[in-house]
Amino acid sequence: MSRRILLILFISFVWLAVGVSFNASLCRAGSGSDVDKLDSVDEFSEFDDEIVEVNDPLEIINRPIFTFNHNLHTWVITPTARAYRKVTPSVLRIGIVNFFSNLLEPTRFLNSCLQGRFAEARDTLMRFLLNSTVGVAGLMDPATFDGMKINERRFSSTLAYYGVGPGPYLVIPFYGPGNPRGVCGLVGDTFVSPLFYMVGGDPIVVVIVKASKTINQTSFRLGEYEKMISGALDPYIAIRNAFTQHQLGVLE
Amino acid sequence: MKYSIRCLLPGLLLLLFISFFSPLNLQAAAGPQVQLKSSIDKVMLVLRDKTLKGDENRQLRREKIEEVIFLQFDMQRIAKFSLGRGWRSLNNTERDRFVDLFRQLLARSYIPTIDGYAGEKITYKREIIKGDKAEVQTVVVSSSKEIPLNYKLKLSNGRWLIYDVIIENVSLVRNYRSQFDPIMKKEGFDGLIKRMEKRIAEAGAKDSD
Repeated sequence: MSRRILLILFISFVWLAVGVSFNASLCRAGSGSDVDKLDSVDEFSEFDDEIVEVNDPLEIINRPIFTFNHNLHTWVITPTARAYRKVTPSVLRIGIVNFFSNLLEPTRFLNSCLQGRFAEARDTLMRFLLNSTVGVAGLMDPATFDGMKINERRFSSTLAYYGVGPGPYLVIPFYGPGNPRGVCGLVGDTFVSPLFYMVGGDPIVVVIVKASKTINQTSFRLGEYEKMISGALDPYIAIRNAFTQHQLGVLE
Repeated sequence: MKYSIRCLLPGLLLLLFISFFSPLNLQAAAGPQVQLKSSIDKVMLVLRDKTLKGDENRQLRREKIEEVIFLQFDMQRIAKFSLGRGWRSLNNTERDRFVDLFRQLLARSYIPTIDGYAGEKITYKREIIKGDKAEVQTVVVSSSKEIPLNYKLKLSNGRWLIYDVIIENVSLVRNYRSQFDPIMKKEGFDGLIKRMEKRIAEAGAKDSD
């Protein structure tokens, strides 16, 4: 038993040491890409004649689902998250966020590989191993503390990488804005998630886990949605456009 | 002795001259980030002002924030780009009316957010200047998250004024355009004005709760 602990400690130290050397290489890579960004200032060209085109043929179905999600958020999720935040220390809530995020590292790793981003894949693997051991099953995030950031590569971004279009805008019940590519991606992510194999396919368990995750995450984002739509003339379009712009920015 | 006094007077005059004009000169020379930061710092001063704290001072505090912020905003330009091609079909009276309502809408919905400031730190990441346009990239850092917040500014009369705000890749102007465009097409300018007035009234009612 003590030999095993020693082994784990040894491995952790090796990770930490290698992690530090990776940080140095990350910094160099970072400064290089910053210089490239200077050239993209040309997007300052006016958007005077830009036509707003959106692929939303299902607006008739999307709008009622949007209203449903809006009411669910306003009357169920937000009050629950508010009450939950009052009784749960933030250390625990952050721990839960980290735990769920850590379980996504395998899919981030796989998708970084699929996109040929092997340096990111290596970093993601490091994160997963470090956080799963030193970080106590992912409850803590020593990797981020160590300067290793999350590389958010999922199946949806792999699909985009290989030229799959987003498809029409969809509002997904209980979930929010999305598109068919995103839905396919989520399905893919699910099959790579250790969580899926931990809880099995029992729909009741899945719902409970998803709901807990949502409530926990919302406890950090209380009032954000309200702020987003506070100045909107048409909240449905405001959210749809924000989603589209955000997606484009993330995929760039 | 005589020589030194003779020198002193023009010297003093020169000093007076410099001190009189230097704030103006400095402002003209200051880059977009410096000007933006000075406005944000002024807002912070209002938020930290002990005499303006509490619910009873809310009205006055928010008025002060609004005053500082809109000095840094080019509302005419924001309104123009948010409307897009619809802007061209408006006459000057309509344009003024629209700019005024848009300003009220932005104030009513976003000043409370700024007023709800809870100690987040603003980090200035980068300043990109190209001719008379610039982008200042900042990150709003709180205990649980970091939100990228970029400002687009244009130089007009020596001042760098904001004409778009980009939060997490989402441009405010583009977002408003996506809303204004269909309303203008379906309901025309009058319909848009009615909607804006309604929204301002709703936000105002919520605000006074």
